[in-house]
Amino acid sequence: MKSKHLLIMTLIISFFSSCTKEEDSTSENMREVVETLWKYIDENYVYFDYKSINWESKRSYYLNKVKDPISEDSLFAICSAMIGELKDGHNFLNNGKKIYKYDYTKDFNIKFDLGLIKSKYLRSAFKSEDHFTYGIINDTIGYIHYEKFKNGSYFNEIIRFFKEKEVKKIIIDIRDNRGGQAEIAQNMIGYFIEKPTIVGYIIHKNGVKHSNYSAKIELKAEPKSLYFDKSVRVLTNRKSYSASSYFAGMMNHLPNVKLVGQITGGGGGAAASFELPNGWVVGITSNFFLDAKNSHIENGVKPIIEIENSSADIVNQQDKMLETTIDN
Amino acid sequence: MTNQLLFWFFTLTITINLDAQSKTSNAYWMNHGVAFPSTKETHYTSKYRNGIGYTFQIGYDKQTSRSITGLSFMFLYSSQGKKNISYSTILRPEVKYEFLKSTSRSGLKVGGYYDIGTVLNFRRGIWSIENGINYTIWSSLGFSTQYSKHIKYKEKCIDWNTEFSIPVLSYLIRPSYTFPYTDNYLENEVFNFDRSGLGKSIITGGKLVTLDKFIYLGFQTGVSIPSKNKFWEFGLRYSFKFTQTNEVKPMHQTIHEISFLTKILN
Repeated sequence: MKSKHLLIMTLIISFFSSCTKEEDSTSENMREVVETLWKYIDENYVYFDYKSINWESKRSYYLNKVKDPISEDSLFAICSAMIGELKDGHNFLNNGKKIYKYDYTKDFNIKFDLGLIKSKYLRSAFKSEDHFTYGIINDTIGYIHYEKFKNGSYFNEIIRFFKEKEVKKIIIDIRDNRGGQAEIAQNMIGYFIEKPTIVGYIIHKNGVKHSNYSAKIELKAEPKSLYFDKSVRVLTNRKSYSASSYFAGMMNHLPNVKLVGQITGGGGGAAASFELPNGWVVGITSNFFLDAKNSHIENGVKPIIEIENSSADIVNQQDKMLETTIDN
Repeated sequence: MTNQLLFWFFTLTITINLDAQSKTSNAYWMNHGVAFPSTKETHYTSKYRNGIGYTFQIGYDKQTSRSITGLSFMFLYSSQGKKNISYSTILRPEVKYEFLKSTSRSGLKVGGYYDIGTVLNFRRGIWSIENGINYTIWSSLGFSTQYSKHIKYKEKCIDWNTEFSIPVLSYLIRPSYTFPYTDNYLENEVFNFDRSGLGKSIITGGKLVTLDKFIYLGFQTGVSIPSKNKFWEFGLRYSFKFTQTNEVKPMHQTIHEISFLTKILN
């Protein structure tokens, strides 16, 4: 008899334990959305200390904005403004209709035209493969423009080609390259080193406190069988973001390498995403990269030779940034 | 190091248990039906996602007078939510060994069990998210009970089986705080930027936990009718699974399932 009761009890408990009511998003408490967003950022964002952000003060500031019911658009604007406080291009908010991202390029003059390089500097003798565009300038300089860090294996063919042509210098142009897979950036370093080299570190958030970080994890580049031992120039602009900044930060400390152009966009981490109570998805940077000298790249990697194109330069069919790189 | 020893201890234990049994009966089974999952994986969401979906399971049981050794694999595909609908695939492979002793009450057996199980949650929404894959892997020792009764109805023999189990001590593997990797995966000499070292790091990256940190309740009841030649068995089964981890970023999941069962007996 007792076991019968036990069975009935178990059945009842099992049914009730799963009856967690899913909240209707039309009646969502907007304060709960703001509160959850604030808390998720508080427990997962990695740059509070580096950027000297007083996050505690933001909580009441933004909660006060949703004292009364507001429209969904207004709530999106409030949440976006809160995320914008972090000034981080990796962070995002997606409500299914629109996406908010912080614009790290505003206030910068960014002028780049790949068509101009193809026609004027490469004299239409170029090849495009797997997001790479490459050719030879003035018979002695190998030029590569990499559009995004994706499918990087073709880089090997390009280096082989340049070695066969006995170029004296390679220019790796990552202007307007918004990033991609950071692993590719690390892999590409292998063509410019003779021995295994530490090119940076990754640190992850591993607890709820702002100071909870994992130990530094070494990123080591392994040398490739094809070694290019001559000068390398990396050409950047403010739209060189994320994996591009990683690449610039890794290359920056190699002996034959010089960075030329405009400060990169930064983006020294990767975002983990999370669903808010109303179904919106937020992405927040939850790990970060340090270069080989333990410097952050979040706010951009500064080239040793700084130069930028003006609108007039492009109109006049001149890429001063590239010309400076050729001359240096 | 401790974690690696524990892992190998559990693995060896089940291997020995599997070999130690005297063969009595074997059953291959398959069931399919409808499932109602409710999941809150706080690694990527702040809310429960209730859904309805299709489930399919295959398994193998070897039964002696005192033990049941089973392998099973559950596939569940469901749509979740009323707004911003997402789709979820849940995979639950499990290996379980139960040692059961008959009690004075006819048909009632009680005992312990050891299992290795996994819940893999794959989420696909209307837009992509970075960490849409999550996992819980466990290896548990716990209590188990089974009640079976033969019922005669219109000269037909119907089997009624009910099972319940709860873990006491588990080796639990969950993703690291911010990414779907274990904490150990982030340590020096373990972490590999190309992620090739993931498998080993996950296995050795767990923690030994008790009931307050990890609960996995399994309950199922059902009736089945054997065929005349006793080679087949057909039935209807209700099953309930409740999984909860209480680590820094917890996971809660309940699954109700009603399914048709087909068994091949040997």
